[in-house]
Amino acid sequence: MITAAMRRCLGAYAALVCLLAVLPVLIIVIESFTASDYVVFPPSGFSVKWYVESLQREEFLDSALLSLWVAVIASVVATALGTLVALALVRFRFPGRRVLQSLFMAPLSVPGIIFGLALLQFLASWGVARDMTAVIVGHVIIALPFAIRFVTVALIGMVANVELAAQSLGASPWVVFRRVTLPLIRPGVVASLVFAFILSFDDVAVSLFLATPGTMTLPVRIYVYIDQNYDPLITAVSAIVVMVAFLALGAIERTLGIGRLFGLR
Amino acid sequence: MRRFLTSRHATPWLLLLPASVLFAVFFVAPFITLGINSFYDYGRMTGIIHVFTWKNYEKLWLDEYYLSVIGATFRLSSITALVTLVIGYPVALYLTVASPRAKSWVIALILSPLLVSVIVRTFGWAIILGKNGLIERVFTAIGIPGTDFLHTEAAVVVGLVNVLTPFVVLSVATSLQSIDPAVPLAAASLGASPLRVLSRVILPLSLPGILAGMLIVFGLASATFVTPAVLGGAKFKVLSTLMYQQAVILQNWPFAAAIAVTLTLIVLIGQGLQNMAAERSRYGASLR
Amino acid sequence: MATVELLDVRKSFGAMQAVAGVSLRIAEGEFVALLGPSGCGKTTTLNLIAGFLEPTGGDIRFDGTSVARLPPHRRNIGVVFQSYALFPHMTVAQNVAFGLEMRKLPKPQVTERVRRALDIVHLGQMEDRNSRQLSGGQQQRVALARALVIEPAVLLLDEPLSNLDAALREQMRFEIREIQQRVGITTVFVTHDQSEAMAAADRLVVMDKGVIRQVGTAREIYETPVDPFVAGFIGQANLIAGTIDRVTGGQAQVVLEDGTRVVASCRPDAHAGQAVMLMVRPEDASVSAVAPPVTAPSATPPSGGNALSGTLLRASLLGATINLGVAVGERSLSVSVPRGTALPPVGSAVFVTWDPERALLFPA
Repeated sequence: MITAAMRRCLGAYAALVCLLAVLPVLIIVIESFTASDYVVFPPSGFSVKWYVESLQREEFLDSALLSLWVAVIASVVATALGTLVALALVRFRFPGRRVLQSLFMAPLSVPGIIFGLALLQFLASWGVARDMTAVIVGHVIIALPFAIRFVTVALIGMVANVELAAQSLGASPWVVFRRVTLPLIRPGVVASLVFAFILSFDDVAVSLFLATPGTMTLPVRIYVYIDQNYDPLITAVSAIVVMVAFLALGAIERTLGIGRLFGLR
Repeated sequence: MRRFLTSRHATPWLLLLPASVLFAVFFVAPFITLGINSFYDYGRMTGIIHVFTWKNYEKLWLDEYYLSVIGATFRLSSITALVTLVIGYPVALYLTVASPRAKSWVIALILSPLLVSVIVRTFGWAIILGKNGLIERVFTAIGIPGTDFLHTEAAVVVGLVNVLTPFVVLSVATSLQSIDPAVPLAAASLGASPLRVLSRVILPLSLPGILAGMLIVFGLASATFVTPAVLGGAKFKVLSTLMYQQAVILQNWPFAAAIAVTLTLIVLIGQGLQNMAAERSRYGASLR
Repeated sequence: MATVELLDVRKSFGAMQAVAGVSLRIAEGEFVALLGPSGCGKTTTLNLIAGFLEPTGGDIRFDGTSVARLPPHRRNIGVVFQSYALFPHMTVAQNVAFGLEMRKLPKPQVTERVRRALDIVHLGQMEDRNSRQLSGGQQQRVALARALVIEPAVLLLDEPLSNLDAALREQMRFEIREIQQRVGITTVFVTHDQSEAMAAADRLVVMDKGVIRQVGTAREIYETPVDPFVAGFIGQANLIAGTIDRVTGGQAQVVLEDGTRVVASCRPDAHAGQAVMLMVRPEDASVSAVAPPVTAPSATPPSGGNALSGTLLRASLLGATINLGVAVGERSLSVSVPRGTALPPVGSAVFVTWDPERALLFPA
């Protein structure tokens, strides 16, 4: 029971909230094209010199490369493991199924910063060095709940009985998976890869504790940098990070639709 | 054993094996370590001392300064939950009447901060709220100079609300969607004005979504690190920033572990309440 | 092609026994329909034959060799599912070729056999269509071709017609029968629709609560059902309780609840004093406005006079027949007569009569 006038007001309000939601990113992108040597609003002049500069700073390049590697490996591993788990949870009934399901969803409930600290203290107590592998493992664990969820949605949405049909036609379980299941859950797998990639590429909380000067991911590098000073250089670096995330975002929207990932509709 | 492994009953367990091992070693074990460490002593010269003590918890829960940090954490999370509700509720309401196209746009835009690196987003707010930023320019233009909001609690709330609003919107929207569309119409047919329909029918029926959304926001806000660290500045302390300071700068791992355990408890209690609310609203729905 | 044997097959899910000891021998090339209400265990039995489920007891044999522990992909079966379960990411030809590829047949042979299989189901021109663009009936045929092309030991059909509209269903049930005859393949067909089963199958297997109630040809089961359940499930039946008074030469005199005496054919083991159920099919009964001549109940052999007096409640034309409802005491009997039969007016007193040869007695 909402009148047309109320509806228009609500629409205008929603648009305003949407604008505020993207405002900080908008500001970063605008500022990154400034010609001045310090951050000021509105930016003075237009130049791409800060992008040029950021690509020449070795510490940022190294961090960006490291972040890319970590995100690629973590998203592939998380998606592979998540697919196996989703298959087990959706296609089989066995004792302890509910318990395992909650266990794999637990990282959603635990703040990243606490998990990062726990992993740090755990590795240290066993005398294990913090390296890229540690960061990857941390990211795999926080991405796994999403991977399981995406693949589960895809599995549940599959046409009924096609796997049984393939089996009856003589396909072994592995062939059934490769020829029938995998092609049909591909959207969920792609969404999982992309989402895990973003999650890993953007993560600060977990990486913060695991990073060493030699293994500093890009977001951690930015955090450390702006802790001391901020200048247009870091806005250019940040803008690049945003663009990477938004390319991935576009991929998700095209494969699944964002609303569905969050259970709306 | 061999027969078991080749039989069909083994399949789910084989599928679950890699992830389970990973979780046992790198998720469950680290939290056990954290729990144990929180009961160890610490000396500035000696590092971790492996003797059992309640000292860390006594310090955190009884000392006036640390109590004030716990208080600040609760305060920040509560204010954030309230503000996200006030800002997000009308948006959720709009989603129920919007065209499908408008709806998917609003959802995409509202959710977009979640997919942008927290550090970038927070940095953006620092530029907006800080010296010579957008806000100061606007206020100066209307004759109120010197409004640098950076490094205040308000700045932290703004940063948190920005990223946490989608949780309230989605939670409330789900709740609103489940209302039988005939119910508000029935109220209107009985003579209720649109505003009264909203306050007497729609609002009470969306209460479960409101509650769930606020509890989610409370839990997430209480444990964020980057936003209070960057927007709150060095003097603004909540449990997460205190924990980072103790762990990384002061290297007092047992105390940091005690803070982590306390923070986990706060988050888990929030989640428990949220599950209870969800359970009760489902019960209510089944009664209807 | 193979014989299929079920030997005391059992399957339980937790405490629930879905199949409680089923034994059945299906001959080579035979078409058998498993028939029963939902939850009777027919689909579970099919899944056990397919290997989608493992039996908790008993044995399943193809050509005398046990397959009970074999996974489905090693059983050489063809299955047509209720939902068709076509692979949505493959064309029609790819769907049909899938089983042949699994058997590692050389490419030219695959192409040739796919073409032949699609011809059999009259889909010769559809090879390159996406399976999602097909109508329900076409999908059904692709599913059938996909199952047949691998020349399975046994073809399993799980309610394959229930997703089709009524006209198509009618056509497909004869078509499936025709194709099965042509290929000569051992076939098990699961359905809850008796007319479907009767139209297609050589033998019907009527199941209820996890056990087989009766096995036989459509005619055997229709004319001599073993119990009231089968009588009521296959066709319609009027059932009236009574007690045998006297048995003479394959016929029994029965005293019904209301005291009326009637005659019916009975089993050899029937004896006086036995509580029974009398069954008369609606089309075996007729109504008349006047009572038929009655012979003395003591006459030997007893004959004729099977008449119950009642009131004609309604007459509904159902096409070729007219269905009549007659109130006899507390109960309502159903009578079916050919269209055009002269009938007393609705509401008048009538007698329901039947030929004793056509009435059956079941132990109550």
